Amino acid sequence: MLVQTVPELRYSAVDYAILGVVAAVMGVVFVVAWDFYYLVKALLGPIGARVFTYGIWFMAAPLAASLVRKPLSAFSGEVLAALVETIIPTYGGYTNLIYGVAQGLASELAYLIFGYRRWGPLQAALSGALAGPVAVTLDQILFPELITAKTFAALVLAATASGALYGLIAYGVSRVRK
Amino acid sequence: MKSDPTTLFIYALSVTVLSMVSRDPRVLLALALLNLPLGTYLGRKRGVIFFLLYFLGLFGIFLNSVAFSNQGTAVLDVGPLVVREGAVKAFLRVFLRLSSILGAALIFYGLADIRELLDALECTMRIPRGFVFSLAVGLRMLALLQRDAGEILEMRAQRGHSRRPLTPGSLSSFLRTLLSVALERGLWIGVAAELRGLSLRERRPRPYRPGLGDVVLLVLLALQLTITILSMVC
Repeated sequence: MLVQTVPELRYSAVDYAILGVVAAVMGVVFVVAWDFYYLVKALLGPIGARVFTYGIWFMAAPLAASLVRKPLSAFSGEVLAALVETIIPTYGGYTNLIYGVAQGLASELAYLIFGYRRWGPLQAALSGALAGPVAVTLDQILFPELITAKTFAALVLAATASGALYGLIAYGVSRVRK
Repeated sequence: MKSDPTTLFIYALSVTVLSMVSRDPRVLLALALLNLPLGTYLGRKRGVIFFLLYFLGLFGIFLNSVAFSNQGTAVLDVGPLVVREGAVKAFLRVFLRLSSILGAALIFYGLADIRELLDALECTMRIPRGFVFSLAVGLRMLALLQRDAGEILEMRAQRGHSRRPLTPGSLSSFLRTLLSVALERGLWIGVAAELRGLSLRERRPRPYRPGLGDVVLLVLLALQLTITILSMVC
C-alpha cells in the first residue's frame, strides 16, 4: 500500500526494531562505503565520486521511511544509522552524526510535503535527492579550502543526482518486506 | 580515568563542532594538540592499521589541496608537479581539523562503554526510549549482520558474481538479501519487546553526577571553547 489516508503516528516496538535493523544494515554499509568512495574518487575525481557513491549515505532515510511508513521514520532511520556509524569507529568520528541529523531532516521533508500519505518511489527518490545539497553544504563547512565556488554547484548537482538514484534503490530494497 | 558517557558524548560532539567552524589555523593547531595525542594514547587499541589508513587518507587530501588550492609561490617543484603555498596551507588546515575531530572521537572510543552509553542516552540525556531501543537493537545486530554479510558475499563469489557489490545493481541485490534475513529477526525482536511491555516501561531518570574524569574533560572543553570564541571575536 503506497497511499495512506490518515498517517499513523504511534510507533510500536516492531517499528523501533525495524529502525534498529535499518540502522545496523546501513551503518555497516556506510562504513564500507568509505573505501568505495576513496576508490571511485581516485579513479573519477571528487565529482565522479559524489555521483557514484554519495547517495549511499542518503539511503537510510528512504529505506526506513519505505519500511516503517510513519512520520519521522526517515529522520530516525538516517540519524540512527549515522549513530551506529559513529559508534563503530570511523575516521569521521562525530561528523557522521552531524551529517546524519542534517541529512535526515532534509530527507524527512520529502514525506512531509506529501502529508505523510505517500511512501512510493517518487518520495524515496526525492528524499535521497534533498539530502544532497545539505551534505555538500556541510562538506563546504568542513573543507572550505578544498571546495571552490565553481565546484560547489557541480558537487551539489552530483550529490543530488546520486541521492535520487540511491533513494530509488532504497525503495526497491524495501520491497523485500511484503 | 573513568568518565560518564554523557560527558564523553558531549565532549566529542562539541570538539567536532568547534573544529568544523574554526577557520584560524592557530585555533585548529590548539584543538589538534589538545585532542590528538590524548586520543591516540586512549585509542591505541585500535591498532596500527587504523592509524596507517588515516595517514593514507591524508595523502588523498594533499592531492585535493593541490587540485583546488594550488596558488601562490612555488614551494616544491618536481617535474610536472608544482606544489604552491596555497596547497600547503589548505592541507595543513584540513589536516589539523581532521586530527582534532579524530582525536576527540578516539577519546570517546577509548573511555566509553557502549552499554553505559545507551543507558546514559535514555536516563541522563533524555533521548526518547524508543529511539534508544532502536539503537540498542542495531548495535546488538551488528555481529550477526557481519556474519550474514560475509556469507552473502561468499555466495556471490561462488555464483560467479563480483565478491564486492560495487555497482548500484549489485548493491541492491546484496542489500535485499541482507535485509530480508535481518528484518525477520527485527520483527521477532520487536514482538518479544512488546510482549515484555516495552511501551509500558517507566523511564528511570538518572541525575548527572560528574566525577574527576568528567571535570577534567569539561575543563578541557571549556578551554577549547574559549580559544575558539576569542579567535572569532578578536
